[in-house]
Amino acid sequence: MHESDRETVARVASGGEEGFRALVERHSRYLYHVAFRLTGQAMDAEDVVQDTFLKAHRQWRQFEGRADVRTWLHRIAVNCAIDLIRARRHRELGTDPADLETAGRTPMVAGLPPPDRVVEGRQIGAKVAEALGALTALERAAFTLRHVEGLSIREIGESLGLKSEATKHSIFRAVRKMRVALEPLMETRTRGGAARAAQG
Amino acid sequence: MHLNHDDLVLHYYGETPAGERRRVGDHLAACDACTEEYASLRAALVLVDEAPVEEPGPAFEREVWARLQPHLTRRPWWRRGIAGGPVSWVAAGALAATLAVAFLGGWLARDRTMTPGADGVEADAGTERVLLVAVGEHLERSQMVLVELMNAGEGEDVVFAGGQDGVADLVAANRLYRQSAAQAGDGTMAEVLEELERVLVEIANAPPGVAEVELTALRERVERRGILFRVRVLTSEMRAREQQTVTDRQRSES
Repeated sequence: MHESDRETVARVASGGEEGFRALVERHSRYLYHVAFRLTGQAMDAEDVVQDTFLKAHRQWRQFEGRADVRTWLHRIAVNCAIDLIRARRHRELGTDPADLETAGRTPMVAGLPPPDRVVEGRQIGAKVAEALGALTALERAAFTLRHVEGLSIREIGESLGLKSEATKHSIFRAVRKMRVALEPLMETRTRGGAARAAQG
Repeated sequence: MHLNHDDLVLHYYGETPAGERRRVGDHLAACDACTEEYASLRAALVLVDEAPVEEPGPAFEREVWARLQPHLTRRPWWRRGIAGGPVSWVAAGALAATLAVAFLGGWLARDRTMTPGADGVEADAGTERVLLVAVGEHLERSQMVLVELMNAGEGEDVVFAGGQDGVADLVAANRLYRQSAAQAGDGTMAEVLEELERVLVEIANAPPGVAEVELTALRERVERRGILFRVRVLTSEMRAREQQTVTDRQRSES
């Protein structure tokens, strides 16, 4: 039977390295997903995961079991990712303000496969990843913090060091780009749904 | 008047200003065109929710632990050395100093027109790669110092000794890299190295038994200025550029 988080937390509190290892093994993949959504880079996501656990270890006394351990780690990971994005933004602004608008942008892959070859699941993931990859680092962070993490525009602005209007416009631009990029997939879905309805 | 895209996005996320909510809600209830547009927006955003995220490798958890574990031990970092093993700091410092002089040349060489197969270009690329490796290693060692600093448990008997010689070598190497970067016009790199150097200098010069409060202030500065992350970003860029030189070389050979 698997040990619960509560039991593992008790082992960490008593100074057991194995307890902390159990937490790392149980939650690092989940934290990677959180970090990857925000940063869009595998290497950055790995760094965020590592830094999250280092911070969690250092700040263990602040945890005290008041919250769910995954929720606590999640919050640390989001903060670490925001720090990374802000640090990069700071650097890029130091070089050329225009870089902020291109940082993290990867070239769009031209053309979608024919509608009849588009299938659910993995392909949706690929298209969404492609669409997210076409956003600037700032747009991606603002959009992900709003859409996935559920932070308010005010909270996102505070986290990323942006004014409210700038935060809103980053999200608006991101959503607009996502819609354009995902439009062919939505059309395929609509056609597929209509065809299935006609057959039924 | 119809709702625009931004109105619909704010409505979707429940961020419509309080004074506008009723107008937006009433309009959506009465206008087919805006209702259709809103449905389209929702459909796109639902796709984002449905998309699976890229998975790390199957050994990811073990790899994370392998990287973390050396930093979680309770022995003070200055007694463990840096990067988890004995380091010949004198040799490392001398190598860094030597390379730093050549580094400026390599730094400038990256902007030259690279014609595959042209005389001297391969040698330049090889030199640049060696320099990138050296700078990358310097940044990684510095990163480890910062990580150890940030990770030192509160209330530990903080006595800077032994390992400070290693940090002093890093300071010397860092200074040369920073000056070279500044002379080569890479202000961004010079700026990050300057921030890093200030922290390294404080660690290297800290007296034995430095007060916890001073250590805490140093940690706060590293955190507030994002120094660790900026060094990490720079390290990643060095790795990427190093990889690019390898790719360019392979391409020119084929």
